[in-house]
Amino acid sequence: MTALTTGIAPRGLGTQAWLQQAPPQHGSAASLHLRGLQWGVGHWQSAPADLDLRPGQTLVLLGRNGAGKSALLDTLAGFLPARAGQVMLGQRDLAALAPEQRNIGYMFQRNTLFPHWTVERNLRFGRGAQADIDPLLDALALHPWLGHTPDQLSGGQRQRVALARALVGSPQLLLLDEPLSAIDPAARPALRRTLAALLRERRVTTVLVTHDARDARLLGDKVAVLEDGRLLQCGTAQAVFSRPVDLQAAHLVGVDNLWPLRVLRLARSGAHTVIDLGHEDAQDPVLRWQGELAPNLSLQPGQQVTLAVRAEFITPCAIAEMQTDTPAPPGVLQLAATLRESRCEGPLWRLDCTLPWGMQAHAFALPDTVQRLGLQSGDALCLRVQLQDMHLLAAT
Amino acid sequence: MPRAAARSGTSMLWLFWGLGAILLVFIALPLLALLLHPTLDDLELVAAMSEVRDAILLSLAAAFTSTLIAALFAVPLAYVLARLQFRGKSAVEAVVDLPLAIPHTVAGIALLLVFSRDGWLGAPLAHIGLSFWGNFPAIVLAMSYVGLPYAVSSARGGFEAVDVQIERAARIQGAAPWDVFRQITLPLARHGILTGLTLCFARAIGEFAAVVLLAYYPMTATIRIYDLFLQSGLRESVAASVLFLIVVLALFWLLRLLASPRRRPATPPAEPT
Repeated sequence: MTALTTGIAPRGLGTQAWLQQAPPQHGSAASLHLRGLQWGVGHWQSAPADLDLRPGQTLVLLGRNGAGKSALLDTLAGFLPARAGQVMLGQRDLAALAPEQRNIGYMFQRNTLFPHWTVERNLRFGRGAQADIDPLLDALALHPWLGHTPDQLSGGQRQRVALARALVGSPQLLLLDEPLSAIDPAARPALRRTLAALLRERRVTTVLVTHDARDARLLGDKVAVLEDGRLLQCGTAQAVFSRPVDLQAAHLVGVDNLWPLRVLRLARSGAHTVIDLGHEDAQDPVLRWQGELAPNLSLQPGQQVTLAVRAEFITPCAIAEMQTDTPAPPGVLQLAATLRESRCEGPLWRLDCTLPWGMQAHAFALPDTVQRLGLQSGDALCLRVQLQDMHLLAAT
Repeated sequence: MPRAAARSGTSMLWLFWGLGAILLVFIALPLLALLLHPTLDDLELVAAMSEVRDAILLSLAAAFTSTLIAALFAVPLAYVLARLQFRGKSAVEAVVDLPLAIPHTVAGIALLLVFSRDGWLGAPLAHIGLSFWGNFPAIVLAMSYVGLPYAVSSARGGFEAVDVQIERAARIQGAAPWDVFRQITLPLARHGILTGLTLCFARAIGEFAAVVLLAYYPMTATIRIYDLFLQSGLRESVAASVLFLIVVLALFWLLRLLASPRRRPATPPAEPT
């Protein structure tokens, strides 16, 4: 696999400032490079992976349970030996270093606070013995709990202590294994925001593992999609979420609309391609897609493809706007649909619609839009999508 | 829960309590009979006998020494068994448990074959002046043999209860394996280890069969009591037994206090708003 690098400057710094920065010192954030790294547990082994993280960047590893995410963290931390390849943290090759020599902070999925010690002693252990812990205590609001033992804290408080312990003494790399999964859902958004702010302020190079696409979007400078030990895709959060590289990746990053269609006709002019897509054996096209095809995709007429579009890119509007003779604005696709069900999801309404050829379409709408359109179940409506937000993926 | 089910659950618990009570009486009654049997004069008499006092002190010293040996050898093995998976692990476990399964007289004979003056190890050890027959080391040896399995299994349980991830968290914070073991693992496994050592001590101090084969003299308390029974009859041996029992029970009570986990207030404070 080739290295996938993105040209993102670390957060809070312009490119110029980044270039002028001195090479990272011991104790400050360092770059992370994986070269052909293979990791494994027992008989299971990953494919070789190449990855590059600049100092201060956050990489979110997204994948299902059993994809090898935690095993990768354990390998970076030195609890599992690398099966092949190299891990460089700054100028240091980690292979020869024991976990205690790696200068890495690790927040485990389970509660691993030292149960027999107070919060303060937990933070003062090892790397934290001489460190200035006050800024961390302030950022995570831990001052009142210094004298308490972990069993006297709530789940959310424990996670904040665990985060503080992982960050204490400015490690060069921070590993976070599902940092939000152990706490109750009500406390999650607050901790997610705290975490995002901390990572931004402290500029610590971070690898965060999650199966929650929301964590990935808020926290990741880069997102890597992992499936059964293979890096399916790695890129900016924006790129991975709106342009998943294949169907598996699309499922993992939570693309709501994945329509299996068939290529009927195909016309290329340079990089630009116009494709008429049909449904099953029907000869009439249901929609016309145009744009630049992904480089890994070569299409022939008759071939099955998947059209991927996130629900938030689909805008509902009145069906009347579609029935007038005025054509759709350029670059916009309009689809007639029937509303099946609408429900409130947080600040937005989620609309489940049926397309004329029987497929389901999911869209989001502001409460104001839902009210203005006066939508009821069974009503016809028009769904608008920017062509640039629709992507074709290989069917399998 | 429906009321009928609740009632049948209660009657089941009452039945269990009843059976448990029979067991408690079975344990306590002979000891009560023993404690109530001798007069204070009898107790004073045996307490004044230097050979009885010496025997009890010898038993305590030997049992204490074999417990130290258990701490040195059984605790590391317990950690290995708790943490590592390896080929032949079940064989190792079986070997550790062997002394529990074999009759102690047989164990004593077997020890004799190895440690007597012309035994497998006894002969070479005799060359460097070490003897394990009829002396304090022989008593410690016999006591350790029967006591060590208890120390291993209980300490192992203690280590297994410590989450490996907590040890890893300590490593990644920058602590070397020794420091992690000393500061994290050992304190957290403390309860299991102390329970194991207590059981080992109990098994050691009460041992008769294995000890008597390796060392009839110097006499430990159990052998002295048996000897008194043969020489002077029931009265003095009962009084000596009670004296020994009182000393041992007092000691166990102290050890239990040490091994029991400290109690902390368990109410989590409210989140500040």
